[in-house]
Amino acid sequence: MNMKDKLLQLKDQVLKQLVNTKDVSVLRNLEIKYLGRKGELTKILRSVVDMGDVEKKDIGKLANNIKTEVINKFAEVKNSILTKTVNQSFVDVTLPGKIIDHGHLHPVTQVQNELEDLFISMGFMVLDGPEVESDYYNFEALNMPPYHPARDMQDTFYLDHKNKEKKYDLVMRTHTSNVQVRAMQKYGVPLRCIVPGVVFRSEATDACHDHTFYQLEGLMIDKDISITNLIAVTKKVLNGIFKKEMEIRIRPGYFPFVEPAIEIDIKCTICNGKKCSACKNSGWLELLPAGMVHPNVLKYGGIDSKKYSGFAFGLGLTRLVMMKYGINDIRLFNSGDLRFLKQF
Amino acid sequence: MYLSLNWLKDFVNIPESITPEELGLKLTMHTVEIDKIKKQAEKLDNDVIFEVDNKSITNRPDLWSHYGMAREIATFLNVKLKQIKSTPLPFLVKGATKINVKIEDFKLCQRYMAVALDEIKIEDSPEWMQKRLISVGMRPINNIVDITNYVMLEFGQPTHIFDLSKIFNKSIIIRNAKNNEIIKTLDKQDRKLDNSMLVIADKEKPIAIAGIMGGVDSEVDNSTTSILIESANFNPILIRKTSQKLGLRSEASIRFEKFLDPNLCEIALVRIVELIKEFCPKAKIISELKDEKKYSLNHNIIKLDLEWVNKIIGKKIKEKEIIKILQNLGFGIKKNKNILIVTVPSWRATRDITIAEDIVEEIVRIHGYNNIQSIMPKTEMGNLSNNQEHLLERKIKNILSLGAGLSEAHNYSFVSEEQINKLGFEKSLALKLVNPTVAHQTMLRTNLFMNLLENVKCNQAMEEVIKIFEIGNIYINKPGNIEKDNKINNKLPYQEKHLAFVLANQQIKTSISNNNDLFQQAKNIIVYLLNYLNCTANFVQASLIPNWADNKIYVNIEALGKIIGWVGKLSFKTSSSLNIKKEIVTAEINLQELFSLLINQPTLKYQELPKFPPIIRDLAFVVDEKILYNDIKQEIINFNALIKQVELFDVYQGNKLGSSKKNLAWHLTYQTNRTLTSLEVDKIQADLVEQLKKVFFIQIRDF
Ligand SMILES: [Zn+2]
Repeated sequence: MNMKDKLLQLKDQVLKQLVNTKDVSVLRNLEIKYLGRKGELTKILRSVVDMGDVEKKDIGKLANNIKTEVINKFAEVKNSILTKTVNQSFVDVTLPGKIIDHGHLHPVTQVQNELEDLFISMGFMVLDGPEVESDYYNFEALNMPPYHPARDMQDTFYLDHKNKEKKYDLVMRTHTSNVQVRAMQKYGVPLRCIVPGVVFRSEATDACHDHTFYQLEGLMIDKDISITNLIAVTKKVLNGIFKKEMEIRIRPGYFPFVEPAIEIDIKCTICNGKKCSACKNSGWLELLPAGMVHPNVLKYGGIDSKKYSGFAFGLGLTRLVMMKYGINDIRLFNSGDLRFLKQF
Repeated sequence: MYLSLNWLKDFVNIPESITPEELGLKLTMHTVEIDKIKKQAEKLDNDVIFEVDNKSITNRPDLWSHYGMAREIATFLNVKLKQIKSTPLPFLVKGATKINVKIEDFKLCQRYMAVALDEIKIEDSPEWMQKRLISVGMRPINNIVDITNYVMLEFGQPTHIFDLSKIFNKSIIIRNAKNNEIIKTLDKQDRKLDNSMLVIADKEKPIAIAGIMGGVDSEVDNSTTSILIESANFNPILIRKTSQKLGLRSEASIRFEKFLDPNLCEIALVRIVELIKEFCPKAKIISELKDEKKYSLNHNIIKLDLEWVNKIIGKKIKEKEIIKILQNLGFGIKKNKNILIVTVPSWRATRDITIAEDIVEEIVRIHGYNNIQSIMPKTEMGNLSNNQEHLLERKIKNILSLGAGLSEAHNYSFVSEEQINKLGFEKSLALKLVNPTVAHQTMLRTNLFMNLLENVKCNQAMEEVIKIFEIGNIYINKPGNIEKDNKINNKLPYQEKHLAFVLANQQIKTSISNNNDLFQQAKNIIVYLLNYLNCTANFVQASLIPNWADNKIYVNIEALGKIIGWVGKLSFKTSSSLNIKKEIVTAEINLQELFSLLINQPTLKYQELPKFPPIIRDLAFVVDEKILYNDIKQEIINFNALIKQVELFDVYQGNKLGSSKKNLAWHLTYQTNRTLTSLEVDKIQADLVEQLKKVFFIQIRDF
């Protein structure tokens, strides 16, 4: 058989086999058999190189045409097989996506991050401070000398360490306000900072009380800072946290390190002011004690109270998280219970 | 403290149109928060009781009484307050019984008033007084005791009444107690005193602990006919210290420690005598009035610049209103141009009001905070110094939770001695609480993973796989580097931020579990974290392996040339002693250390893309299992400068290899600033194999 006949016969053979092919893998095998590196058609095409010039031109052209035709036919058959297969099998498009397992940030961390971003956007620094603190920075420098009755307002954990006068002089910080004077000493004025962190009170625990919880202290000192500024900034923050215009009320409070001292309450988020057990039937929730920094505290911080004034506030971060998510037992925060942590 | 509405009405006319709820709200908004409002039954005259949290009036000695609260109400309602007339006592001059009062130290007792009465008849007090006392939560006892309680609640001045016949020689000394002196107080307890405390004594014995509680020996009883009334002012700090030391707080001590107005002594004494005469018409004063005192009322004069007041408030409040507010509260006002010269009344002058800022508070709270608009501060844009460490901490939390799939826990800073002992930590390094609230939280944690193990315990019944991390402080009983106070060289105990995580999986089946998977997972997490932070993690053998760890599976973590932490597997022994039923691998990193390494790292710089392609060759060989990856890797990387990267991609151990052997498979990347030829690389790799055979006795396997 001459080369030409061989080629035409091969072509017929391929096309005939292709017509009967219904399966992709069979098709693939045929493709390898004829068009693969060692395929029959490929072999012939390769042998064309060794032919004489006249023959080469003639047969070469034919061979190439046949190859193109066969390749096209393969594509056509493959297409029709695939179309048929798809049409045959039903796809349940409602099957679920597979869950990519991810971890969870503690709810306090999440709300804290949000608050930090809010304050950073207003030009506040975020500071840390020691949790085991001296009596000096936790009380004395905050205008609470030894035996000041206001020390009763905060049940204090003392550490088994006595100073030269044989008095316990180390405490677990009772508030993040311990960083106020430290920040003034380190950064001077003008000062804008927040201090998120854990604080401690030696209280018995129940669903509403824990001896360990989070606060977020804020401090701003500059020229001409007024009570109206304090009210404006805290309003901004509350609106930012709750992402809506919050109704607040301001009433007098008492903290020795601010003067005047105020308490900022928000309308109860649970009963919306209609009075419930969460707000002790007042319709309001105590959230933000605040005030103008006491001149004595500025003095401890090395700041001239004649030139500068400022405000400070201490947001109950844990309380805020409880309100936000409707958590009714404060002890869950420090339980390490994954059934709780994985909800956030 | 409880306030009776009926009682308040003795002193101030509250318009009928104001409901008790409205009055309570006004008190909350202008003076002090009212916690609760309670309506009393008809038999208690339909009284209304307002409850105030004692903690919220620690700064206001004047508010511990009905009269003080009435003054506030009169001020914010702008109505008249009944003035207290201080009618002088009818003093006996002729034929008086002689009583002596001697104060040894006026610093401890700045005023002591006393007067004696006779022909007293002890009986129940009249019904109206009993009702009022019951209304505010006090138990009526007899007419004399009830009167002292009544006057205390009315004016805030605690007083004490002795049975005169029980005072030796009718002489009273106010002196320091003697060490180990004992007095039986009215609550029938023997109290051992020391010389830091103050007593009221006769020549023989103490008859009361000054300002805190009377003694049984001089108590008024049903047979009492003659009495001595004490109305005094004691040093508040002394009272506070004594009551703390004795663990004895009374209605009297709570008030004395708030810095009471010494002028109150007189008002209270007059009122007591008046009530006694009303209840026992036959009673008569039989002594002269003793009034030992040495004090100068610090009638603070404060200059108030009205312009400054407006600036601090941020709103202009009319001068007329300011003056009205201050006068209603009892301040004296004189005007000098734009300056108010303010005299502080005695009941606010003991400590409460000393500076102009205190006066601002008075003005603004009565004016009403909710009548002040809010204005954002106008300030210059400052240099924003952002807290690098804090940003890193947030980043790390995100990598671990969202990237590595761990959940963040918060734990208490406290641990138990038992926990420390079971894990074999040095107890002396842990700080101890003086007043823990529960027995299992008495010490401060010296590492984080101790409490993470407790988390595993709490979750192990519910969760198959546990992956938890925590970032928090640890505390060491050694001086650290944070200033403690205003004295040089005083440092707070060492405290630093750590990161720890714990991985727990399936039940432990045998004592020798060969499953290193969790250990590898933990290392993967560390490598992932540090890579994310642009540094590489190495694991280097620890010279000391802690007691709690499986001694084969514990290693130090090194980053940027420094040891920053460890990762290790809990030994079976430790697990079972802690009742942990899972296999546990835990790691802890000193974040402070890591922060400073990262912050001091040069910022990431773009590397020119390589102009010449690398050649990557695989290399696999069998070696003794005791030969460390770190050493082999070092040998390879140091072998030739063209070897740019060495990556271990497979470790295999199995019977096919023979015992104590492992097969290591590597990708070696050869690269330089010219085109490398295969020939050249093959030659280097062949030499490398020879070198490794010499140093580590490796064998190339035929597969
Ligand atoms: Zn409510």
